[in-house]
Amino acid sequence: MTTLDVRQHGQPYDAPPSGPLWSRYKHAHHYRSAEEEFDAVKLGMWLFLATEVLLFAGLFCAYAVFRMLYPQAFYNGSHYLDWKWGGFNTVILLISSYTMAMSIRNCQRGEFRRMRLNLAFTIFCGALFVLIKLVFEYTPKWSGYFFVLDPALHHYADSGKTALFGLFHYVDGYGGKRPGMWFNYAFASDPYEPLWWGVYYSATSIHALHVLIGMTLIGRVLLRSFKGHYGPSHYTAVEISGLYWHLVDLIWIFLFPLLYLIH
Amino acid sequence: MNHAHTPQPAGFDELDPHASGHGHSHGHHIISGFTLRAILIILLLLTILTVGQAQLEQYISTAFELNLPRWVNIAVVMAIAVVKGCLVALFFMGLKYDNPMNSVILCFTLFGVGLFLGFSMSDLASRGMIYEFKKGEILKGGLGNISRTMNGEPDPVPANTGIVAHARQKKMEEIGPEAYEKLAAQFAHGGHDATHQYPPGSTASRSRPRTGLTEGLFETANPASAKPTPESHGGGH
Repeated sequence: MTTLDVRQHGQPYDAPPSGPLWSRYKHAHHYRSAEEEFDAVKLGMWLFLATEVLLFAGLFCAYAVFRMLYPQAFYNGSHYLDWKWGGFNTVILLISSYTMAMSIRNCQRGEFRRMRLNLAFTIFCGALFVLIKLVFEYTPKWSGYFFVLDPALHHYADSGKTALFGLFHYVDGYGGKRPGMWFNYAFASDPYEPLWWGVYYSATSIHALHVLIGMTLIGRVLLRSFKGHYGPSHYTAVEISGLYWHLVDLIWIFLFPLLYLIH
Repeated sequence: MNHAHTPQPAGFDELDPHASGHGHSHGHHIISGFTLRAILIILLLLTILTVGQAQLEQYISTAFELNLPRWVNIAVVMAIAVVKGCLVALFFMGLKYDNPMNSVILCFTLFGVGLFLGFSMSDLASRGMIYEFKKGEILKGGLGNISRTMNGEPDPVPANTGIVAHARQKKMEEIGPEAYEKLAAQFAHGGHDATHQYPPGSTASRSRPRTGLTEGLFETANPASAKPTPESHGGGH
């Protein structure tokens, strides 16, 4: 009964320090075994992911109802979006999901350098996704300011107005594609287009928020991995952060065709 | 009343009688690198396929003036998305190798989503079956007769104009009708690329067949040809 003292004092780690943190990790005191802890934590994470799916189900339902009522507004709406940016972002998220899954595999096999590289690359992909969304999609549509390297910029007449030291060029009349009462786009042809923008902005911005949260979780795992918290016998946090990241990918797999591809 | 201990094998842990956490070996499945790479490649191919079919549909409707029914586009795109979602859940999220309870949770959630979407849709699609007098009760949403003076400036356009008509009128008053037409030509109909040709069968004013809507239930005037008068949109409710 040598393990009893460990549990009674609430110490998850072996008493005399020897070896890296992960190899000394037993389990939290309210579990009977590391296996039970892993299963319980994972089950809890899946229950949380279920609530996340239901959150997005509300948005999907709003999309379906309004699309059914105002198909022309949604037809116009999907044409305002550029499938190339959406497709590029899809590829970024898919690759990041792969590197996340690989980092768990690396952790299980004790390949810590590769694990950290994969985690860092996953965070980089998340940042790229949000950056593209902000610079090439949200900003021009909301305000009419195009990033100077945006390939779409040369399709429109130059208004000569710039912002942020010439990094952003203003195209007169392009902006104002906003939801509801903020709508200010003068060339819409369907009276219900503000509804489309409401669905578009709420769905994609809540998704982008999830990308940011996922990046934070993976960043935490990456930082703690330098201290030796995770290894072949203990990688619960890597696993559940990965589950969160895959869910973000999963949601985008559905948002992308709904918003960009269905005409 | 026999409290004598039955002899236990050596190493028996009474806090963990089934030895579920025996030693440090978890015995978790390690997904092979080949599987993960194969899944990634299949996912990327499916992404190309789904984008390709949307482009193909546009091409068919432009080149042959043949508009496929809307449900074909939706069904193909969503079927591909479901396959991609299953691959991510089974392999990247590891459900295939995992405790089946986690799969049960996900399936039950999706069942809930199905109920949510299914009942909403079937309600909307069967509005035509309710009585005539009830039909008239349903109001259009999303236009709102809102005040437009958010920054405190007096607004030249009456507040009871629909949002889209209001934005159009304000721009016209700002730059004049000729300049408006010139600018409007640049934005053809909404696309990100002004040089892109939209299929003739599906312009803003001549759309593909409307589906899922009771005929005449949400009758609107043709928005493209509507005169932007203060009463043109949304003011009548």
